[in-house]
Amino acid sequence: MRSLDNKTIVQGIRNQDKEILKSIYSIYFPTIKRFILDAKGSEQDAKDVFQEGIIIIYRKIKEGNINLTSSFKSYIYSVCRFIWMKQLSKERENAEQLDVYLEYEEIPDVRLDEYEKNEQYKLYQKHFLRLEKECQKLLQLFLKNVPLKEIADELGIGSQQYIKRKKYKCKEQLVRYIKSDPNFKEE
Amino acid sequence: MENKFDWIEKYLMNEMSVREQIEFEESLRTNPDLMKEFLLRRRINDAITEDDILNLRQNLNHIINLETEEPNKRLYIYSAVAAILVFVIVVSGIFLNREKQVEKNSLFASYYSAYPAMMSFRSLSDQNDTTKLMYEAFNFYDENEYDSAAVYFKMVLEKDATNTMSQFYLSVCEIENNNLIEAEEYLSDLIQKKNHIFWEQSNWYLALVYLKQNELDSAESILNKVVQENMTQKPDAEIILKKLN
Repeated sequence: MRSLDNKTIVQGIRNQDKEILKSIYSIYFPTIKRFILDAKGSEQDAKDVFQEGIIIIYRKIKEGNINLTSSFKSYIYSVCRFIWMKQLSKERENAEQLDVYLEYEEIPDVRLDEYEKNEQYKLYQKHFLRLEKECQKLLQLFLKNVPLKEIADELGIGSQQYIKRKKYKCKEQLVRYIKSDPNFKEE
Repeated sequence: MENKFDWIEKYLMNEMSVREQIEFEESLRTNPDLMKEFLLRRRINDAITEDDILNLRQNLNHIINLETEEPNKRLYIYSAVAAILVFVIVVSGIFLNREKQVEKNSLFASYYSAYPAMMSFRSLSDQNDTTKLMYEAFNFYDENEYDSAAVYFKMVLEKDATNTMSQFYLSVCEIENNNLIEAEEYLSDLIQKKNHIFWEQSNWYLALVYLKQNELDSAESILNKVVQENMTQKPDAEIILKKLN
């Protein structure tokens, strides 16, 4: 298994290079998995945490906001550990103890609001993908301000009035899905 | 009169006249419920237009599931081979005792690995001395330089004897440095302290230290505790106990 330097990793994540992402998974996932299993999580938890860790890092890279001064191994480990600890602290009785522990866990530049935003968006996107494909496409085209005529052509729907009604229904269905999720939090 | 959801959607989609927009914005300022719903719907719109993130999620899902399927296939083959091996071992019981002795000696190597390093600190400039020492310690630990890491963890403990994290990682350094007596002392002390997050790990590592020192009764006693108290390492502890007996 080849090792990767930080620059290659950052570029690979930014470009969503599948080969680099595969290598990152092969090299770093076992450590994350071991930590999560040791901390009473499951293999599925480990996969979820790893995925969110990479996505948070991607967001930071995209915003030009990453400060990778240590090895990537330490960085991703810290990010994933932080995510897992935050999840545990929501559920566990000894949340206070965990918070004390997390004082040492402060990660270089992932702020709590970035973590919270990622959690919210993950939930919204999960339910967005539950919508039928036509709904997904329709909402995205509307939000990208594509003219109604073009939307109608692209989706092969003649009536622009129908498109507007459909868009409304799709959005309301999405909001309903989201609000009925047990992990949804009112702000 | 349209409902508040229609109203918000019209605003978000730029489907309002200027006069309607002003009226809506005024309502936002005075109606907290409307504001809450508006912010939610705006965030949802942001989230579902993140094509790159949606794409990345899909790629990662694919990679993670693909990588897990392949080992599963291998696991099936290994299981078949293992079944044959079990059969061979059963009919070769006569050799078992001798093999068991060899196995006991290799138990430590089979189950031990250094606990992963945790580190990372927001900004060192505004951290206290202890945190800076921890940072140095974890830098060395992360590079497998356990001698140097131990020095820094000890410095932390000199400043703050209650720092259980430092004590735990120091004990792992001592195992790596083959200072088993010291490791045993640190771990035993951590077990006594009890109310900290490394308590289960301390039990487990102490059992491994006893295995390495060939103090099998002591190892067995700790492993029994791991099983009885349903610690994370219970499955491994049960396997080791079977092998020991």
